[in-house]
Amino acid sequence: MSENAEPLIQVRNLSKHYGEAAVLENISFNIESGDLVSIIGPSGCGKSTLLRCLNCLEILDEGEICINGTLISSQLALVDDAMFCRRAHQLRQSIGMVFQSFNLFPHKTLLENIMLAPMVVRKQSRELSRRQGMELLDKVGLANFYKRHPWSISGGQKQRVAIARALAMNPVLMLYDEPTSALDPEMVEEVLQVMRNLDRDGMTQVIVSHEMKFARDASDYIIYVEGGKIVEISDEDEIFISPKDERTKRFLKRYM
Amino acid sequence: MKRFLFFILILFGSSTYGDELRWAADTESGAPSVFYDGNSQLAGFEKEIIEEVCKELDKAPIFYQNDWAWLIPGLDHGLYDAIVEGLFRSEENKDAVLFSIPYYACPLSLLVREGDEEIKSLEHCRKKKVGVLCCSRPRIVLKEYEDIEVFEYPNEHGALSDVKNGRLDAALLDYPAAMYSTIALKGLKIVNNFDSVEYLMAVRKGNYALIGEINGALLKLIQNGKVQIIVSKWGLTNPLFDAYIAKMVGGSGADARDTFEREQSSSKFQKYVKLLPIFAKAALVTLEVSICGMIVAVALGLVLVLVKLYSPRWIRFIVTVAVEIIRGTPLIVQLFFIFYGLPFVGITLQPLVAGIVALGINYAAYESENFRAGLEAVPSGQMEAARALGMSQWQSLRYVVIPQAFCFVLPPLTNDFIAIIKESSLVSLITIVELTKTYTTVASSSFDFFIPGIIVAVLYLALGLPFVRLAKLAEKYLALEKSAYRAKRIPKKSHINAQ
Repeated sequence: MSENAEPLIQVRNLSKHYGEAAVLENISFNIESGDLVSIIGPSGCGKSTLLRCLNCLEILDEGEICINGTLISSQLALVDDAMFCRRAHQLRQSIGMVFQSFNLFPHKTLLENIMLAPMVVRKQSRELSRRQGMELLDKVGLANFYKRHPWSISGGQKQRVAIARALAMNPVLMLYDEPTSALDPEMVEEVLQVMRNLDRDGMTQVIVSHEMKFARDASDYIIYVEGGKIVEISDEDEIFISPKDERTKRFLKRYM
Repeated sequence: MKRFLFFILILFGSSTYGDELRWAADTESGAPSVFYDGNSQLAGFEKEIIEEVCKELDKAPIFYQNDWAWLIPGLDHGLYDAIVEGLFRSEENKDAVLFSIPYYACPLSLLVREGDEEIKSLEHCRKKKVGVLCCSRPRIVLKEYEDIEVFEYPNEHGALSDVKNGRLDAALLDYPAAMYSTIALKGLKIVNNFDSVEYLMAVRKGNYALIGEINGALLKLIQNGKVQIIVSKWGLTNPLFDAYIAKMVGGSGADARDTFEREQSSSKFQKYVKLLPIFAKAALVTLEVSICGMIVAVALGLVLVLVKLYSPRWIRFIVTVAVEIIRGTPLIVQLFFIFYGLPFVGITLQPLVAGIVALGINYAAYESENFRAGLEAVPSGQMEAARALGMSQWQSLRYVVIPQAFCFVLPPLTNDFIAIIKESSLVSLITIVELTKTYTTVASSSFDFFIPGIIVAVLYLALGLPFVRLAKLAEKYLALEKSAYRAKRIPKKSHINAQ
């Protein structure tokens, strides 16, 4: 993937407003294929919104996003809404997303949770989806649980299934919206381990997190967001050892 | 669904013309005009006369049940071709339909309680309460007596039982109904016969061909004495009838009246057993209307709520207004509008279809609100997760949100199904013979509202209960919340083993 000259994600002058209030202002950054990037910042700084803009769960108000060659821009939304929706739909199919509250489908078993999207969206056969689903459950260490329903497993297990479910669509990019915030401390590690494994396999991952230790240990680099703006983008060690910006310094002091 | 459409098609297709004469009457008016006898067979002297007419015209008689008050509107909208139900010419209806020549004539009869020696004629009824059938000849006669308190009843039985139990002092009915009710309902007597009324058949305005045919047939039947035979067989001959018919064939025995008399005195138990098949048939109609109505309601309700939640603002507005109109008007008004109103704009529905459509639309409005509550009870994260997996909005709804919403919706849905079974009784007003209609018909022709009432109540319960049980089972099976409790009972050991 690294031979691809273009960065996997290019964000240019992204802005997002809720009514009058600006949530994101003029955000620009690139992420290369295979990177593991952490987005950190205080609560309400807009980091989750930024993540949700990347797979069009939120519609950007200004700027453009280009992911894996698919271009989404505020201009396009104005000119050709149908085209915009089509591209957003296409984009979401190649991006996996993991939520803080898991959002597993409670009326389906774990295996069915994973099989659903490939069968519905890709019209993949039940047999193939099933085989693939079992492989993925095995990958996150839950193969024996395939018949269970989401209500009968722990939070950490749910999040691992959620990751497996996202992987079933063969995404080129994984987004995590505070994946460990709702978990008991002893379950955090099992989820982070899955993400580490994915990083080793070369998956591009963007994580909004409060796990500073993980961000520091595993990330290729860190984006620090505050007040809807990118304050600092830097190599992980650099930001933790010698943050350039005063605001970053203050934030990290509270967390570390 | 396919089967349901097919069923609808059959209903639409069933209105064939040609060599049949579709005639209507209200069986609720009881013996001897047109009624269901002890064997649940259609009987009555008017039924026999129209069948003779049909024989003359070489047409097959097809019977349609309709409420007395709605006989003429039904004729107007082409539900049937003729009315044979003691119709007489009056100021109100003389321009509404085409009348045939009379096939029967009789006086009006004043009925009082046996043992009442005070009332001998209408003159004695001043300042007293007298019951009549609505839109009947007696009703018109009584208009001239301002100081008689008049009560209108939809059928003879109501008036007669009220005379018997003392709510009324007297009842004024046509001679045949009066005479037969003294046989069936012991304790009443006829004190006076006066005035006159002539029974005519009616066809749609402008249908001169048919009225010509009927008049020709009637004339022939009177000339060859067949009408007289029928009338005398039912014991209905009277001086007025004799006067009307020049050539009179006297009948010695009033066979039909004797049969009716025998039936009334036969064992009650046997009578009720004989009623069961007719009630069973009616229960099936009730079930059919209810189930089809509910299918329409659920399907349409789902469409309404999806439009309401996921469509452009202006469409949403229209749907919201429509739902409010449907929820805010009585079902009975909607029913009459669909059945008798829509033909004015060229949409004529078969009774069963109209009933199902009215119930379906009415309940769809409620179901859409049920569904909205159900859909909104599903956490928004579910829709987001589905969209994030690349599903379209419809796919997300179809595979993720709606199945979960269904669990929330099932209990109120069951409620509404029970309600629709009961409310389906309203379709009896548009000529459908279902449980309630059968009850009033059977009760008023046998003058017994008690046991048939219990039979009908039991049948309604029997229709509803299986669905309550079924819904309970489905709830248990589907419930997401409850299953969380179940989860706690699973031993933790299995977790450890699995890992």
